[in-house]
Amino acid sequence: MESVSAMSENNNPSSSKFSTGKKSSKYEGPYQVDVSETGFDLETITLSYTGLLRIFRLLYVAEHCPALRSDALLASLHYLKETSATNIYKQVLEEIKKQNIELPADFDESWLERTQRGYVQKLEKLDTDLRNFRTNSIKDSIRRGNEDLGDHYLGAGDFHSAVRCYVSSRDYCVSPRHVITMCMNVIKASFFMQNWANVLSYVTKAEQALESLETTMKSPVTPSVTTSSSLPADLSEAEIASRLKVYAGIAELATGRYKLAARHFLAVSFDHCANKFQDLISPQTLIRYVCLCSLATLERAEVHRLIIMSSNMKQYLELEPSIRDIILDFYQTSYSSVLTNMSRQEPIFALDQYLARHLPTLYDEIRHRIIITYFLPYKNADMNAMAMKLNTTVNVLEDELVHLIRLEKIKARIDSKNKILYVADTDQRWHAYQHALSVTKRSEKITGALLLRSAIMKANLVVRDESASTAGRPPKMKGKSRGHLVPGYSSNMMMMMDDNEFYEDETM
Amino acid sequence: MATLDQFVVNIRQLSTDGKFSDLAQTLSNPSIDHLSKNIQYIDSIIATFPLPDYSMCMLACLHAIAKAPNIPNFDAFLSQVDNFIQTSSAEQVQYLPQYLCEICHVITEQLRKENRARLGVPILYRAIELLRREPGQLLSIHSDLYQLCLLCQWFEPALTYLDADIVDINRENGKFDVKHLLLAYYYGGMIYACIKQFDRAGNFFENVITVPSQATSAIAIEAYKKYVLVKLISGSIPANPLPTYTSRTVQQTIGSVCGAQYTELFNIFNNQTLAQFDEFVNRHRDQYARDRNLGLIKQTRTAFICNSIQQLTKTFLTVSLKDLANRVQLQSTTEAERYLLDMIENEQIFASINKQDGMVIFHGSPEKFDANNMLAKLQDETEKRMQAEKQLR
Repeated sequence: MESVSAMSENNNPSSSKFSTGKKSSKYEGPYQVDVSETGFDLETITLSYTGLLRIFRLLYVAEHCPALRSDALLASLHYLKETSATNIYKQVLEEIKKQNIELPADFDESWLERTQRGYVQKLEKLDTDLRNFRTNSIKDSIRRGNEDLGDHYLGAGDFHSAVRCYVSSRDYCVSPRHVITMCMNVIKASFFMQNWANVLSYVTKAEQALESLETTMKSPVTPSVTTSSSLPADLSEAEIASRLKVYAGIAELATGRYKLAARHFLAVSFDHCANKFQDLISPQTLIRYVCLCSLATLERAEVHRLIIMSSNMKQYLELEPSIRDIILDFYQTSYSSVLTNMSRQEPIFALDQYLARHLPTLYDEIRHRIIITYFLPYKNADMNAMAMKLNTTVNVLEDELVHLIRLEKIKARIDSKNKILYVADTDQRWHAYQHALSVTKRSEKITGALLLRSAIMKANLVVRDESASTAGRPPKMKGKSRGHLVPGYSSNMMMMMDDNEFYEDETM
Repeated sequence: MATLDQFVVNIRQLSTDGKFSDLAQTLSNPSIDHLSKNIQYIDSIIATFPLPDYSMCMLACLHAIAKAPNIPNFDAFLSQVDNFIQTSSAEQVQYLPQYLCEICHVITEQLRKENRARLGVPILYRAIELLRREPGQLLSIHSDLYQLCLLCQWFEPALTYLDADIVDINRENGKFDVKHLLLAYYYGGMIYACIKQFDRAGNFFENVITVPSQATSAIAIEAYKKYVLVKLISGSIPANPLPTYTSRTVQQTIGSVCGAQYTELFNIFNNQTLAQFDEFVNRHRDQYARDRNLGLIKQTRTAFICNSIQQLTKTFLTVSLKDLANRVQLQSTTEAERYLLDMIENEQIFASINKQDGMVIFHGSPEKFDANNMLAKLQDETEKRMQAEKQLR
């Protein structure tokens, strides 16, 4: 699957991170995916998403799936026209030309120039507006001016400046609602920039603001501060909370903290996700994330309680039958079908830009968890049967088991002759005696060291740098270059060691 | 000449009067250091001081000879010193310990240069016997003795002193340099490493590193390098490479100077394979050769293999010889078998080899701690520890 990529480095900010870094993992760097057997269609993306995220997802598919490349590129070109992201447009156009894809008949040559001009004009206008506001020093208008400027940058794909504007609007936030809006904006822009630390910190800030908002709303004596609220009317607190969870979940996933990601995703309500989050995530993608993260990190009972029995999650599962099969099979311990399904779904997972890099780790984790759960009820297990259940050979299984035992995830021992896995029995009594002996040894050493140290203290001996004391400065240097490096003695020591090694060589 | 005579008469008088502290002061006063200025007459002066009554004066003369830029007849001097040590009065010598120590330093240096270390060992041994006030006292002569023992590979004299715990350090009237302390423990550690008592060697090297310091000494750095290797060989890999009471300067210097080559070894030991270990060692072979640690490195390699095999005992009940060889990355099953036999003999693991089907069966430890002697040993050890605690208070 390693590509001999004809695809140039797409300087799309969301995929730049994937082109760099070590190529050791399977899904980092340029790779290609064959989705012919999975029935994956571009329409799943085009229909479920809107806005910039749709474009990025399409571009990611274009980069990594040769079969759908031309369609994806053309579709992204089409949708780019609805934004003002001229940089990305230019890159996509170059790519299309490089791939010799035919442009559609209604291709508008002058769109690029027009949009750029419009962009610059609007930018100037917003800038002057903001400056006016600043001179007037009305807090709210400055804040809104900054926000508008940030939105403008965001629409064009200049995420860095967008974040800058949003963060500067922070000083002018008065009510919790303002804070929430500001946080949401920063999160959105940082999300596209893949600055996960930022995302996570602002998520916590927004959650705190939400809580304070709730308390102020609940208290009866609230002056109506919401007059200047710039929150659109349709974003209720619950939705905001769900949105934050999604952002947080993706951020945790991208930084490799799968358990936290799973917990975040499980808290996202289905209604919100299906209807309101189209510029962020689709329910199918969410359930995919949930499936992989939770299978890799949660216990079987938790999987049952939190996913299978949850009415919220049931709605998601209905949308993606293959994911539902995986989770149910896992619970019913038919592990071979879990594994086959997972490998079948692998190409689709690989086309998700946030998931792809973690796929190998997640798959390994799930595999380990399967082995551990399998072995839990047994005192000794036949490795041949186990290998059959897990779709591997006995030798590969043996290596995996050795690895797991070393990591102390399974307490067992392998009988390599008969290929049986036994539960390890620990002789407590023996361990206790061993421990006692080692403690005496250690205490002997410590008392010796302490006695010596008290003797040294009594004699007031410290390794000091003499040259420094003559210069009158306190001897505080790091001791490497001008320290008490006793040069004369080093040569002596070299002679010592020479003979020493001689002796050891002989007795080897 | 007149002042010299006067001086001699003076000290002779003080000696007979028994005013030893005055005598000590007079002799060590550098402004009236007549003896070293008049070296050429020293032999005649010595003749006038019969031992043991005039030990201090004799000692001062010998010291003057030793301090001179070159010693005309070294062997004669040696026998003089030897004679002196054997016949002098300990009480008098205690007043001027630093002179005796300096004499010993000079002797050691000379013998080392001439490669005749063996001569000096008995002399220094007796000197220590003479000078120390209690068995647990450390003198700078100790470091000299250990040095000579290492040079001539004759360890028994050193071991008698090494096995005693040190509770006091003789300040030698202010002349005891911390360098000697570091060296004493450094050489002591090396001696233990030579006789394969790696645990104690590790302790000694650790003591070198943890001496309070405001500047780092090269001795400490070398000690750290050996410490790492010795710790690996003895198989006890501490969670924290250095005890917390190491001074910060030492920690920093160690980190910057030896980090890549030595501290890294800990990680490799725990996590990686023999091939990676070999590769790492080869990469830094020059550094190890420069530090003259290659012998220790070879032993570390053996320890690495033993460690890997021991890890296998924890994961397997039975394993085929071929599999074992593969997992530990040894060259062949015969080599694996050889290591196994060694380890079984040294009681590092408990296993039996079935040659018929090439299987190795790992048993648990047969030590049941049932026997009386085991319990007695435990009890013994505990009592010893409690004694040591009391002493500490």
